[in-house]
Amino acid sequence: MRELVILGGGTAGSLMANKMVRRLPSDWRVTVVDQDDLHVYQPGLLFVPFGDLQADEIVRPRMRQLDRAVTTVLAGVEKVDADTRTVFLDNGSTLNWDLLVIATGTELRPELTKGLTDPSYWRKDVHEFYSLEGAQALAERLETWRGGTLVVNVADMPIKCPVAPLEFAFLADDWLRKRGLRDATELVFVTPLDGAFTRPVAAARLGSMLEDRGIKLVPNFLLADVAAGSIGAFSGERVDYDLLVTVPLHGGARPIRDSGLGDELGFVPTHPHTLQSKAHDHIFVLGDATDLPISKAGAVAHFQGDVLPENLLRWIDGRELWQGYDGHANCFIETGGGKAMLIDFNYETEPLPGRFPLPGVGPFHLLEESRINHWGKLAFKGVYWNFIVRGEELPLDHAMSLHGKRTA
Amino acid sequence: MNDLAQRLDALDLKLDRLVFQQDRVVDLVREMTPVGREVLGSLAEQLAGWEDRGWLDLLPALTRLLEALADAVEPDDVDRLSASLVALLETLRHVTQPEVLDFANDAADVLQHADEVKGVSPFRLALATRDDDVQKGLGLALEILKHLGRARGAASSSPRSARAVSTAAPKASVSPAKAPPKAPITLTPAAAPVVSDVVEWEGLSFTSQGFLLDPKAWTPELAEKMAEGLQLTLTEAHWVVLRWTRDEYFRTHASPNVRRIATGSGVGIQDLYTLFPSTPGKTVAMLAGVPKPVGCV
Repeated sequence: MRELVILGGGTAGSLMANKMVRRLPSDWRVTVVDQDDLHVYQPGLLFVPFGDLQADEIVRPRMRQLDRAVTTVLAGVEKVDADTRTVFLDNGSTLNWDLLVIATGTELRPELTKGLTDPSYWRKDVHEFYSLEGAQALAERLETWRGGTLVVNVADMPIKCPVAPLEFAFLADDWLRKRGLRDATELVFVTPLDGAFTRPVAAARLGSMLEDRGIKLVPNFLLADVAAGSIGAFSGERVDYDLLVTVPLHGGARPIRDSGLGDELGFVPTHPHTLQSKAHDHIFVLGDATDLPISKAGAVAHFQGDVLPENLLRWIDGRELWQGYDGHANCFIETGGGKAMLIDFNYETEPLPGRFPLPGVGPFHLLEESRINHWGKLAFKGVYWNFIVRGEELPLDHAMSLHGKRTA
Repeated sequence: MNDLAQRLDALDLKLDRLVFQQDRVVDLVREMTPVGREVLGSLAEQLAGWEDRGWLDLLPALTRLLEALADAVEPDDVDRLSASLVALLETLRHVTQPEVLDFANDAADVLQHADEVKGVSPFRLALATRDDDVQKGLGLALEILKHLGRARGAASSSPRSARAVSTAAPKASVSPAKAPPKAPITLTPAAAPVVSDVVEWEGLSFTSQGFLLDPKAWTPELAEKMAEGLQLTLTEAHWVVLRWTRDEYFRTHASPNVRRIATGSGVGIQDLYTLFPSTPGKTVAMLAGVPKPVGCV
């Protein structure tokens, strides 16, 4: 029996396991390792603080999302030894691989920012919504919000779903208006970037949307420390808050960092087009665990999942790998008021206005707010559990297309 | 809606059968691809039209309708519906293949002519596929074609200018040699350029923000000159950072951001702000002759 071991049973790991178990020859076993059995639908976390989704609506048993033919191991990973091809588990046992897929995602590392997790205000007036626990705590805090300065902050890139903090600001604006608290609340968006987003066309569009909503933008603010009532940047600038919603620093998963497989932030150096590890030919990487200069998002894992199975099969046959992944990413951006925006981009190409996925007709509008986009985002939850995680084909090609986009 | 959601959940259990059905459906879908393209196009057009007219604000009523519909649907129907859903999605996937997109691009222009596209009700689609028989699917295709024909008839009587879909590459304007490229700019998002213009300086090409276009053309002397323009004097501490950044760029083909520079070069973030004031990430990239860091989008 030959072994394909997949570390991580999130979006990336699950869809790979489900795809590979159907495509590998019968003398291969597919094993998924994860430390817990809770699969969180992460796009749903954005809606938890506003009470639009409850925790139990966005969590499902992890291993139940996997094909019955997949072997599952519920244990934490202690260390990965690439030379002997061994995974050491925290229950004392080991796994050996012929082929390893790292899909361990990224971890929140709030402890790396000075003062952020001080118990006198952490999860009280200082919050994050990137974990289930954090999103629930924030929901409770918002219930008692009566006004003041609400600061939405990104500590530093890279983060998962880079538009989520913006979406949070838009949704907060909408939520505050509905509650009659908008006039009593100053909304401030504090970012390390030089604008609302990193890519110029989208940054201009999203920046003006902040302005339209009276949300103050503080750019070029690299978070150095958090204190009671204010945050400071390395440049010395300070911003006051009554309620801080920050997106903490992200890093690679601990076992990857401990095993020396990651770069300075703990992300695995990965070939951008084949998704093979740069250090070991028998290791492949997908999803948030890579060091690739593209969004850390489920859509990316999905598009990579269209390329990686082919490359695993080619590797097994000793054939040349397919340079198939072009950095394709897209995402719905909730903009409040029941509308959403859609952006689509890759390594080389900016998010552009236009229609998607059918040129000229859509139905989704790129870089424009529309109700249809919002529906798309809502419908996505069903698509996620039934198609994405299951490794089913979706009507989106993994390679980005310029058709239907206005480039000038 | 909860009811419907529960029934959708039941899909989980039918997965094996779904996969089997999918293979069978794929072949039919290939045959139906041209039809599907037109249908989906017009459906999408109609949806967009509804939105423009504000009909989608009638959503609450629509929700009640859906609830009633969900009550009327038997579990077996959901099973069959799922099969049609796979067919529909497969169609869409084929439609988004590059060669088809070329065609769809033209088709999209044609559809722009239709003043009032009479689309096909998705419920009708679902109803027609209630029977698992493939023949019925083909019958449906014919029905759809009829609708499309009528829509096209309407189109020919009321022509409208086709939407131009420009795919031309953005033109970079070249401005004459001027003073050093601009010092680090704090961009307001509204002012962010769509296309970077190219600036010539010291016989080399830079973006309008002052980033060298060809990292291989960089020399230490160039860095000295640029630093002068930024009123910086480069010390060994600066060079440690610049050398590490260049190595990192050529290793990963991406410019590191401040946090990576700090962790990788061993020069702390606070020190980077002292060495390269205000926007160290951008200033380091500029002086090291590598592109502006994108911050990993």
